[in-house]
Amino acid sequence: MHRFNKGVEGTQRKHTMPSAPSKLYADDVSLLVVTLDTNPFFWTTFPFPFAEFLSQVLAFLNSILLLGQLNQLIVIATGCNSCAYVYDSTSERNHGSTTGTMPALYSNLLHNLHEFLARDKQLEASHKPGTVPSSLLSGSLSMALCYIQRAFRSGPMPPQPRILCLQGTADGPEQYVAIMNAIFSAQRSTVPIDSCYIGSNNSAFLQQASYITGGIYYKPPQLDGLYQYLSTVFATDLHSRAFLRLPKSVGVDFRASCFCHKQTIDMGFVCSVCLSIFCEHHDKCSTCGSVFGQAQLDASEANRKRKA
Amino acid sequence: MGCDLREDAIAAPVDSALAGGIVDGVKGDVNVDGVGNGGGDGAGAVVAVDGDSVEVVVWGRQLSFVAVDETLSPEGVSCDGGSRVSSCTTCGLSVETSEGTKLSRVAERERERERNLQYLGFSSTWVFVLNLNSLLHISEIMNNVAERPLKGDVEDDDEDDGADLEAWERTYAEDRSWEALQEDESGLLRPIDTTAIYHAQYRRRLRTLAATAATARIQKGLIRYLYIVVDLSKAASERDFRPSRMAVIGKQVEVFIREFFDQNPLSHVGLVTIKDGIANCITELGGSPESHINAMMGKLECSGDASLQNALEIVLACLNQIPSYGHREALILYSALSTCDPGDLMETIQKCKKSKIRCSVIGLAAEMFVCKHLCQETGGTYSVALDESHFKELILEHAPPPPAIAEYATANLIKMGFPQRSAEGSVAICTCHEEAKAGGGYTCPRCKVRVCELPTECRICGLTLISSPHLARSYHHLFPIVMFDEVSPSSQNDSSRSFSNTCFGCQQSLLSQGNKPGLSVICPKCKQQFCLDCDIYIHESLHNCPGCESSRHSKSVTASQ
Repeated sequence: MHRFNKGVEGTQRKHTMPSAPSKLYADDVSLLVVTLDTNPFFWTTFPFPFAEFLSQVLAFLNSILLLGQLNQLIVIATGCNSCAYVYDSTSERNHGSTTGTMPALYSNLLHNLHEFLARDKQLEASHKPGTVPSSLLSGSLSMALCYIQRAFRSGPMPPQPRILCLQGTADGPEQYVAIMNAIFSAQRSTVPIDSCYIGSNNSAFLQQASYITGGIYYKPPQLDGLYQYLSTVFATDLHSRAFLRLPKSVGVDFRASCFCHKQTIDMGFVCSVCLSIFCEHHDKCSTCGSVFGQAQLDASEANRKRKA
Repeated sequence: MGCDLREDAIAAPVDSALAGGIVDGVKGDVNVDGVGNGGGDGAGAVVAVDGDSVEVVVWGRQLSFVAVDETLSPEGVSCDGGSRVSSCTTCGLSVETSEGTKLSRVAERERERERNLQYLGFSSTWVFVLNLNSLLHISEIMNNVAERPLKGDVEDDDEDDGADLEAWERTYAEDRSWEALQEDESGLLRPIDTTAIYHAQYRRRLRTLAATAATARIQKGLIRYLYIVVDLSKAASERDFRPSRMAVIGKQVEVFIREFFDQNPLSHVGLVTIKDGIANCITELGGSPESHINAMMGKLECSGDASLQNALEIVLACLNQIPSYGHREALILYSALSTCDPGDLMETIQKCKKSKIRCSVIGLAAEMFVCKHLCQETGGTYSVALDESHFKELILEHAPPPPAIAEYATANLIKMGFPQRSAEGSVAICTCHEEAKAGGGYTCPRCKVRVCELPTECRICGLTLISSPHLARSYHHLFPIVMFDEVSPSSQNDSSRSFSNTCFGCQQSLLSQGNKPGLSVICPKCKQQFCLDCDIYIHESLHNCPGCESSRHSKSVTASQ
């Protein structure tokens, strides 16, 4: 039965994930890597309190582990100055039984998160007052992918990995190249990146990440029911998704922003050497230093010589 | 009959002065078996003995051979080849050299044997038959000899006797599976631990890459127009690559095309095959991997000769039309050991050089001068594959963009459009398939026409249409991450306090068996420690250092640099 399902799954998933060869996975075992945005500058300005957010997310994480005995869960905190693993369900320390009032998951995760936040605060770099510095999403995505590669190495039947980004802070443009690198690497190893974005505007980075890797991008309209959104949309494993009516993407913004004025453009000039994008014609590429327009000069000179 | 290829004879130097080719001019020493090489410094090998005649292969001015003949005295015979009929100085037996003793150039049908001898290291070999008792039909003997295996060879080579083995034995003999085993301290057999070797190889490769990148400002030819030329001549059906050269090429070209488009999303590929001395263009330059792979898989049949010139001419004609900013390249997968051309190949090579086409060749048989010359002239690389895995390695080396050479393509600004993906559910007629499709298309920003896939060229206004991820896919070539420093276990012991014992990327313990620190690497920028597997993954696929990305401090440092 399972084997048959896998065949169906393979064919159905082809439609959602272009150019993704199907892999051999252990049945129904999920490896969920969650990146948790803990940027204090964002949470202090955001109307929805972090404590409330965390309590709903913790309930969701617990339900993931309860869905299957073999399910694995990794939580990586995405801070403002650093990133760190805060929970790993496979490590032996986290297998302890409930300590008094709280399950081991909660107490360990909260303990590590406290430590992480304290460390993150110490590393704090100066930033312009009044602005919210971006969280280091590129770092936590890179760490998540490294962990998933380790899971792939673990044996012939690795669990099905996926990444869930719980992000609130707006995109940091300086991370563009790094995030795109992580997205392409995830696409190559057929790891879907789901994203639940709770900030005010849509995140173009996460939209692209989910679109390219075949994951789900969703922006919950009401944060009071966050747990409900998480458990219905993001708790389902890859196999079950084929049978669900999941939120459709509202369209992905693939427009580029030019290197010179950071404007979003739908037509522009691209340097043939380094592929930098410009909104107007330049004589020299500011990224790689190549001088443009030699082609026509050379050609005309050659023509002149030929005539002579 | 007891005659062997003599070790001392084999070791003798090759004297190319074997001119004349007639035994009269050759001083010969004849030695009877058991006595040995009788003093003459000739180099020769008896290849066959037949009752009363001896076949000798001679290299060098003097010949020596060993005969087994019951008519000869056990002390042996030595004769002076200078005279036509001579008697042995030792026993007085007359040794006549008949017509057949003329050193006859190895006949056509003897080529195979000649090759065997060349394999032993002799460049010029001659075979002649010496008649001891004037009773000789050369041709007959030669025929006999041709059918007989070369004894010395058989003993030297145990690979060539595959015909004697059963099929199941042969697979083991060819696989050499025992070579993948080694003995451990307690004498148990274990598979060889290849991870350390593999990692060392990978680091060496990385270092050479880093060295080339450091020499000049990084400019890569990111917009490439590549023709893959596949030799489907008769030589491609050889089975020295398993299951056959052709099958291996087919499989690896498919892998290569996918990898190529993954790394060079704005580039174009075309396919050319050589068959029956004619080159055919089976796909025009295009950006869709599937169409190339399907076209190639349908054409995998081989026959006839290969023609390098015809192939290059086709590539030349096709690549002359591309825009000047594109990098023109040809990758030739050549199985044959010859080229059968209608004209002067050297002229064509010069034409390629003039048209700035970078030609690279991967040979499947042996190195050929003309291929090497072609690659040297046009700035490409030439390599010869040893086996299947080596071939795969070699072909995948051509996937990352080569460093841009200023004279090869001029920098230019290309006007491009970044179409937006239309919302799911909207219906429009696409220009690529000319049929109505619901949702999922892109709209050209200039002429507002619908296309199905990116990257492409607008069919109406000719604008190059791409999406920003296509550009971003190439950016890692421009911003490569630094090589990590290796941390040896001993140095880690000295300052073990400062290291955590887990990999920063995957949290794997860096301790090998027995709680000793194993091999690891460290990022010179963020000083985080990584395991070897992560090191490879980070540099080959991710192109991000998780340590640098997850610390704002090191990031600002890199930005200021």
